[in-house]
Amino acid sequence: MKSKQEILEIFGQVISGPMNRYVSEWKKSGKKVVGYYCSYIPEELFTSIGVLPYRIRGAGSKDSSVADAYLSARLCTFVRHSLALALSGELNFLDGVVSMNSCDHIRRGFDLWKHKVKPGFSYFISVPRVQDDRVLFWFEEEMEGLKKAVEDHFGKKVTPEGLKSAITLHNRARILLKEVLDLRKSDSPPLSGTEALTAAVASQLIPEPDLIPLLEDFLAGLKKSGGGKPARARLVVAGGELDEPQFIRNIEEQGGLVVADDACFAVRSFWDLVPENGDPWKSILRRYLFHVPCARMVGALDDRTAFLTSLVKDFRADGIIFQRMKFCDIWAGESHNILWRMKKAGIPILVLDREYQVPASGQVQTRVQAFLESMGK
Amino acid sequence: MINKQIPDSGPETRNLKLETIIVAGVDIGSTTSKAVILEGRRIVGTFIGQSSTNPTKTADEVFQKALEMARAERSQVRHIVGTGYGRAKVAFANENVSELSCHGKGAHFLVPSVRTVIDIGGQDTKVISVDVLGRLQDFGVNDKCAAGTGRFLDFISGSLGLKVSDLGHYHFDPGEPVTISQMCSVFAESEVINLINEGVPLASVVKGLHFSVASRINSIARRVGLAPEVVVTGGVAKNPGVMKCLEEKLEVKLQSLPGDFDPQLIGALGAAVIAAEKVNKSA
Repeated sequence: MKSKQEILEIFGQVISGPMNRYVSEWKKSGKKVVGYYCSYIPEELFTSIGVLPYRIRGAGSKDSSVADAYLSARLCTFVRHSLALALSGELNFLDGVVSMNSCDHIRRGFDLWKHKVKPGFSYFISVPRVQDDRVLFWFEEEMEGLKKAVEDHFGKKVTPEGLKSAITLHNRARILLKEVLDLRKSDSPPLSGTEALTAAVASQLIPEPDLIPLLEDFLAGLKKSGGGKPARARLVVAGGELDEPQFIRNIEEQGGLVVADDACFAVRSFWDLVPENGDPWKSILRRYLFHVPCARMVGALDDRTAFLTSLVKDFRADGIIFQRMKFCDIWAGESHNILWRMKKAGIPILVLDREYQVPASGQVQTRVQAFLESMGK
Repeated sequence: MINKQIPDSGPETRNLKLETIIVAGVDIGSTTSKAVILEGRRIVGTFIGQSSTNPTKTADEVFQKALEMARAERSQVRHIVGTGYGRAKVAFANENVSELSCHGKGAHFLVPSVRTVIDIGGQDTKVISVDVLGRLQDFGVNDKCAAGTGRFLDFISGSLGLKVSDLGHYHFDPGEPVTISQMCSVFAESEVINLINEGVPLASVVKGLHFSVASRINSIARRVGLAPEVVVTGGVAKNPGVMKCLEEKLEVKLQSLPGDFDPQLIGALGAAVIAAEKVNKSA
């Protein structure tokens, strides 16, 4: 059994750049990997036919200029850096890429994938912008198209049995991550927010058969280890794209402890399970369309506010740090709505803009410190 | 200003009963570094120096100079609070506190009725809301860039061939203000030069600049809220043109600091006040 520290080291290596030891082994054994953007792409579809779903990021890119040449100055740095990796060949281990209409930035990024990176397989799906049974058929039709394209390209049939065992695997990983999350409710959690995000991000880059034993050991280690020292303030980090634990570390270095993270790559990616009874394909699609909504979903502000408020309450947080990538339109609008709602509710909130791959500036440190001071911490 | 008794300022500072206690605040900013020495409620030493690439050394120097003015020894100083961007580099400080809290406390020390502090500094424009004790409640900082800061006016006055301190004077010459549309300081500079080349009167351009600064501040201030009294600090508070535009935009009456107190010292003063409170609390 591996110790908490050993596993954190492994996870830390896994998230530091595009390639990791598990994907490398996977490829060596002749198996395929498909990269995808966003939490609306069903991982179980790929897992069921032995293809690894790998969540695309920009970690490891130092300079995005090769991608900038083709992208508007208004595109976010997450998309830029992920495309920079792709264009410079660092994502060549991907046998395909699947993207969607999450936002216009990712759409334009997909244009580049298609025309400049030219992956062996690429597919774009249109995901409805409302969480409503009325449009479920649309989502199902889109996903049917993806399923057929995947079957044709990889020469394997998606079966109910395959989907069922994929559901079990992915649910197992989600349950373990939720148990880790639960430990953060305690007065002195056995892990920092930095460590928790490291584990959550790594989980989306490691094949489930390798991941599950790691998460099991991680959880067991955490349960045995004592809590950290009491924090100056307990915080929930919210917002859009967030796969950089360094950002959380900058907050925690000011004395805050991040106890929950309502963000892409974090809680939103593992919160909802797929029901294990019933038609597996239908259960998967329902879970993905109706999971904790991204700000791209229209009319979901009440749900998101309620979800965030419940995290603040359940994790006994003193305040919220809401982060968004610069130029992210979807989360820019959201940050304002949430700011005013939380102000009204009397929950302290700090909104921070950030750029991908940019370590904390003095400005961020000052704001976080002042935020803690304003809460009397 | 030195050795002047500051009028009584609210419940918490009134509790600074240890009249002979000496404390210090050291504010290491991006441009200047400041130190303030308090003895009880009296400001007995201040110093403003240029920041350098060695903040630890600069902190030491400004502290030493302020001590000399106060005729005090280091060993007499009971508690030191560091603040400003270089706050973590003030090696001899007992603790560091963000400049937002310090500006709130410093302004409150001088103007006890203050609830909102607008600090227009070199790199940052801050809007700070404080409670009756001067404690930080909420804040907003310019997040786009240097537009709307003192540095912006400094930089553009240079390209107009003016001293930044003269801008306020031109504001009151006749001429309708122009609209400066560029957000970016660098692009705004070329826009301003174009306007001058087209023959637009200098007063109109200067007024336009002042309104653009006031607009930036207005958007931050309205997000934070503008409870009276509203006090403006920072070098730009000395520009009557900007103050007039701000009053128009914010629709509130603005207060300046008591006339002879250098607004650049507010952060260091607030740090010293926090240091004094610490000593009093533990006494």
